[in-house]
Amino acid sequence: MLRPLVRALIVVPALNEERSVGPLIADLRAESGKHGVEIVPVVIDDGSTDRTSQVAAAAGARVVQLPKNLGIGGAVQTGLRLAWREGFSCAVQIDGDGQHPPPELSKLFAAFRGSPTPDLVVGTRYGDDRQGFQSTLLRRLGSGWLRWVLRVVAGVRSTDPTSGYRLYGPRALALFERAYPYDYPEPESLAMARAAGLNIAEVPVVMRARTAGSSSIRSWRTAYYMLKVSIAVALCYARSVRRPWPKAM
Amino acid sequence: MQFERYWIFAICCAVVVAMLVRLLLRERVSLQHSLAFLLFMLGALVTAIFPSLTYRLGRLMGFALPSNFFFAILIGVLFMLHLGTVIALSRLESRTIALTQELGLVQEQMARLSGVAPHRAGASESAAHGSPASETARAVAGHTDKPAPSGASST
Repeated sequence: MLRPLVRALIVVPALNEERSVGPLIADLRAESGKHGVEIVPVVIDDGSTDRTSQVAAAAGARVVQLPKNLGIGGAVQTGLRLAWREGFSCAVQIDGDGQHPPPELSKLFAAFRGSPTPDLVVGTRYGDDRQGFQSTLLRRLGSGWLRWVLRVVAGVRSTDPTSGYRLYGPRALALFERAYPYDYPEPESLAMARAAGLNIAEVPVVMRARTAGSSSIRSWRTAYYMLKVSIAVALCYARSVRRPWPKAM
Repeated sequence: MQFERYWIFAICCAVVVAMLVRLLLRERVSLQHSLAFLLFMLGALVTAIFPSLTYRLGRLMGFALPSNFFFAILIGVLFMLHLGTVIALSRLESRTIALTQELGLVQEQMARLSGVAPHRAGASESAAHGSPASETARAVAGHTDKPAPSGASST
């Protein structure tokens, strides 16, 4: 039995994605109404210099134009704030570059309907079936280190901590509306969610290689990325020990 | 004991103080954030003109050489000043991010209420340049703006 209609805000952070954002919005709107979920796409234009906003608006998305570039964390949080204020049942973060196929949304929603209701559903590309885009060796090594840090330090068991295909329930929205990491936010936010006592679920999804643009994680920056995220996860744990997070809601 | 006065160092300090005062007069820096730095430079100026002070203070704190005492103090003070800057910077950053998000959200709400589509290509830099292309986009977007059955259920 399906629950009553769920309204989901689909948060699409986009920076100069005029080529991929149009089809993505069209695909997202085609998903609306299926599985008893009403889908409202919102594109967070993180200071693009191309026509991302116009393309997105023409495709029928709501568009929030940030007057200055905030980076992925600030952009995602903008969408989460919107979802929280307007009382959406949940928000889904999906990359604007075409990595995350909209039909996979149904898997996230199915997991969200599970019992006990998860507060955060992470789409992982390292599921049992291992199909679709997998990633490079370096990235897999890095991902392995992050998985280890998250598991040992923060107590989060995640197979794909850098995944940006995620569903936020009301308690996660309440938490991240107040505080969300600014750069390389995904693994750190998992630690935050865990520290706040949120229920994190994972579901295997198929991801594609990006259709345009390049990953924000590459080459020597990986070193900074790993160090920053590892320390951030440790800090998050220390914070939660010193001063337990206020229970969301 | 005879001390020579370090005039070159004194002049350097004086120049920095003068620069700082000039910035203050032009309101390029606020007194609140530069006061500690100003006092520190004035202190350095005093020690340049009266090195005996450094010597006595250093002795008092167990430094054999006044220069060591001077450098230790210098490093400590600069570290504190820098720390203060980092704290101020972090606070500013989180405020800027919150304000930018708020501005984006408010603009979106305004646009939805008044039915105007986003029209600024490259919101950050370019000042509204009404190129024919963006005019068309505005017109097109204006018609298809009604977003699905999303409902104008803003709170």
